[in-house]
Amino acid sequence: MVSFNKTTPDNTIADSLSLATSSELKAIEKRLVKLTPKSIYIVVNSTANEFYLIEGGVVVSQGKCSTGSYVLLKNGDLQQWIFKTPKGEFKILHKKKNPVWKKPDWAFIEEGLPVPGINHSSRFEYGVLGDYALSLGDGYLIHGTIYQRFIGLPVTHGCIRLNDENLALIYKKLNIGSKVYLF
Amino acid sequence: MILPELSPFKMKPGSLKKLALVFLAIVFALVLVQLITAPYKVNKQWQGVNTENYDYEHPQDSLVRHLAYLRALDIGSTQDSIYLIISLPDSSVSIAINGVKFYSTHIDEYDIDNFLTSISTSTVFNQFQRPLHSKEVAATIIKEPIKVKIAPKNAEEAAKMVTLPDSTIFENAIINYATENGMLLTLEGSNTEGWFIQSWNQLIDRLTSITATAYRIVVGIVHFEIYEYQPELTIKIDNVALTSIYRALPKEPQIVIYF
Repeated sequence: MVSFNKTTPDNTIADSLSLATSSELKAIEKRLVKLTPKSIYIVVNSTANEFYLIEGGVVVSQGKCSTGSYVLLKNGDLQQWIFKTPKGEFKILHKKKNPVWKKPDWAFIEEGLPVPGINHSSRFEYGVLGDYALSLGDGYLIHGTIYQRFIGLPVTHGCIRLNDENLALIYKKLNIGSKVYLF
Repeated sequence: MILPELSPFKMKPGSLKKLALVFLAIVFALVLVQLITAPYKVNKQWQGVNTENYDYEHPQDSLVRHLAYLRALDIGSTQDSIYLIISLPDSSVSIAINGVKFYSTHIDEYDIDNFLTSISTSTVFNQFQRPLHSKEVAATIIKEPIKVKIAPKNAEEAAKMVTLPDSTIFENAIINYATENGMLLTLEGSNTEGWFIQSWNQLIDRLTSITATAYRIVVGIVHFEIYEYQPELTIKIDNVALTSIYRALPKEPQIVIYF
């Protein structure tokens, strides 16, 4: 008859190995759990043009968004811009109500217009970014749009555009420092 | 009496046929030997980097495999670029950065090489306890769908230059990653076609794979090269998820594999 509880040298080695393995497993699991964001965060899929708002490992909201168009704008041999949404881990750096868009040089070059001075009045556009903007750094924003029919398509200059309803929700839910995963 | 001409190059009728048959038999034998011995060679190579030995079978077996997976995740968590995680026990393919799995998709189907399922836990532990670097990548889809636009000279020209947004319908993708330890990981978009077309495609894929292997071996013999066996893992996931994952990853990503 085979007894599974019989203590043999082999069993002792196996048991101590099992204990060592289990304690290492627990230690690594603890380290990995620590890395997971505790508060709510947002994930943006720039291929499917979708966003997922995640809290406690559960998707609390998801929907369509617009991301970078992958247009490479060339202005002669010296200037070029690529309009793609960056990929990686980011944080919300600032939150703003009724944001004003300060048009960069490429916005004029893309429209075939002469580039004005750095603080010229034609650089400032009101209402085009929707009611809220959340900054991710380097000029990338999560904002609204007046072109709501394009939501779900890759049409932006790298920013993430949401419809009014989702923008209001994200503005309310995400705080400064909240994690943003873009891919 | 006329004596037959004595020439070293003259052969009896049918000798050439026999020689050709012998040659073919030798090639066949060499192919067979290569096919049989190649996996053993890989197994030996994989065992060669042993640092710790886990020669115990069940129940430690699954525990040790899980430990290898967590160790790989632990090392992966120190990377600030996006890496790929394949977990067959969870039926998931995920991407992560800095230790945070931020996107996962379900595995619809997978095909794992017999070699991978037959190697010892010790070998699995030694090979898969860290993320594998992918040294070669091949894909049927483009990584970045860049559209070049030349800046218009004036507003009138700009009005005529309408850029259409990229399509949201994705082509069926196949991505191959050759890892540093000589494994071939294939990620395929799940087919939405009918049973007959799927079976036909599978048959064509299998025949292509056999032909390609045979060709590699024969060419190897001609060039006096040894055939290198490549253990394969093929995974099928949703096509949009696959395209998203492929575009999210760096050019030669790190891959964590758990099976």
